[in-house]
Amino acid sequence: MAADALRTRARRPAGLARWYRTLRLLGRYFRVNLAAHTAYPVPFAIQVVAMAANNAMFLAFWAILFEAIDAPIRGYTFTDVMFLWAVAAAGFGLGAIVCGNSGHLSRIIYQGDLDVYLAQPKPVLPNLLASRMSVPSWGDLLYGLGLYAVSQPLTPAAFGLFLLFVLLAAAVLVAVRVLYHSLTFFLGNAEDLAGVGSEQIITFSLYPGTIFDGPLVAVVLHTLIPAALVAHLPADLFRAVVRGTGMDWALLATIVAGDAALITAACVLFTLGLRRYESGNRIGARI
Amino acid sequence: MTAVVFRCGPWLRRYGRALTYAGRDQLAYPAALLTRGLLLVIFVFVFNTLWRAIAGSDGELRGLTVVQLTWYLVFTEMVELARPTIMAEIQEQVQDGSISYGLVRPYSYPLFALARAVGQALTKTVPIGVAGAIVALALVGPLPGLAAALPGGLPLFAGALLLNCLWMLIIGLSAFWFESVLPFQWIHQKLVFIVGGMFFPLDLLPPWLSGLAARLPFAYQAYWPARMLVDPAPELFGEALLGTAVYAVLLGGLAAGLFRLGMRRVQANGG
Repeated sequence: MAADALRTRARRPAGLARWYRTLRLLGRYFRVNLAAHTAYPVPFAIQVVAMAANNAMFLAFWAILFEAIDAPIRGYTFTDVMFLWAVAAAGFGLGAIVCGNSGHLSRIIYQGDLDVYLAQPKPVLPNLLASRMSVPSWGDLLYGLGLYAVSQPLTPAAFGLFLLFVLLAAAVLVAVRVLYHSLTFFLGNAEDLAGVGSEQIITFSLYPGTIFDGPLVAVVLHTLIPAALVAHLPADLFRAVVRGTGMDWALLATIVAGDAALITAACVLFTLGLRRYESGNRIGARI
Repeated sequence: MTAVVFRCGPWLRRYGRALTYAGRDQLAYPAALLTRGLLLVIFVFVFNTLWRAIAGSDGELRGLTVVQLTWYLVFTEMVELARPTIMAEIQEQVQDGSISYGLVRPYSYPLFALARAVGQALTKTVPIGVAGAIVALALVGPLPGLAAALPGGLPLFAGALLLNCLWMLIIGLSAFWFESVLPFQWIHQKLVFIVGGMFFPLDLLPPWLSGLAARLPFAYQAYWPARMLVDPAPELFGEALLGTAVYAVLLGGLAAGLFRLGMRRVQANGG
């Protein structure tokens, strides 16, 4: 009887139930992490406000540049560039708030800190990713939402589309970090590589996609550094909707398919890497 | 004169060694140096692409060519990416109390930290500069008149590195009052980006702002050294050097003052 009960508990839930349990786990981590960080409200507020102010400085950069040239940059107006910033900042922020460990995976892997996650009765990757929250990323998220509110149309359709792109950007940014950091399983330490790779997605996302020409650059920006999926293609689609040209469903399907492919690749590489993981027999506890 | 040098000998040796060892430590992490070089390559590529996209048909933006703008970014980014890690080191030492070990040693803690910061920055500058030069040469070719600009530009460049180190020291010392000093570094960095003229020369700013920004300390960390290297103006060299020296003294004084105030907050209980 006891063995049956154990077997039942150990059996992995299938389909929707699995998704539901994973989302519930992420939700619980979110609540606990937020409560832990807001227990010290002043340091929390300083980090959030400083990050938002930090991002806002770039607004000055673009304002000065557009004033100096007094013309669009390869079809991008100041408002279009602000959309890139809004979606990239909010997407990055959301990803790092919910999955704050995504930027620390290499260290966790090479220090042998995965042991404690492997021993817990939860799916390893979501459990690992969500167990930390990045506090300054609240500044990114709030900045992105605020920038959208002051620079873009506030119609339900436009805002809904923006929120969809923020969710997709968050998912793909986390996935790319997982993908790069999973190389640590194979290379020993891919922390620097993953850091540079992740940073470059944001860097490229914040500039008009049309300035990057050439087939090689286009391939890189859709795959290794998927800034096109994070911001450039969503900006094209958003512009078309806002200007009344209509929804380009094929482009939306392309973005979603590209994001799904990257997320799948990240999960597969992490799972393959996990098979190579060797415990450091490190004693640790998570309370 | 000889007596002064003789008296300063041990002092110079002490901090000179701190500088040398900190610089040598950086060589133990070649991957980190390469990563910074790679970052510069990507930044220069992105901005070169942007400058080419917005330059007029004459290939110029407010009188500066794409070649000058690209090399300008290489020089400003060299200072930025050579940023020392001293800020994080001080924060960690204040938080875990290990600063007390440094306080009882026969040296001035802030001067020792500054010497380490300068050592780190100098070592980082070399590979970053090589990476920057390679990518700039590949994208736009050599910078005309660079050899003639070096005598004026190099002292200002060294001053920019020193100012960057002093800022990191000041921000690190603010850990006596704040749990995390990183937000202050973000703000300082962005001030250098915009009003310091890191991405583009201050001449692109509106006239009312460019005059003011050129006299702020952030400009001496980016605009002045890079401007003197890409578009030398001998008549402005004295002003730029004086500004760098004045801000170095002011920031040094601020660091010393902060350290003294911070010491009042240190509680040592033995053990």
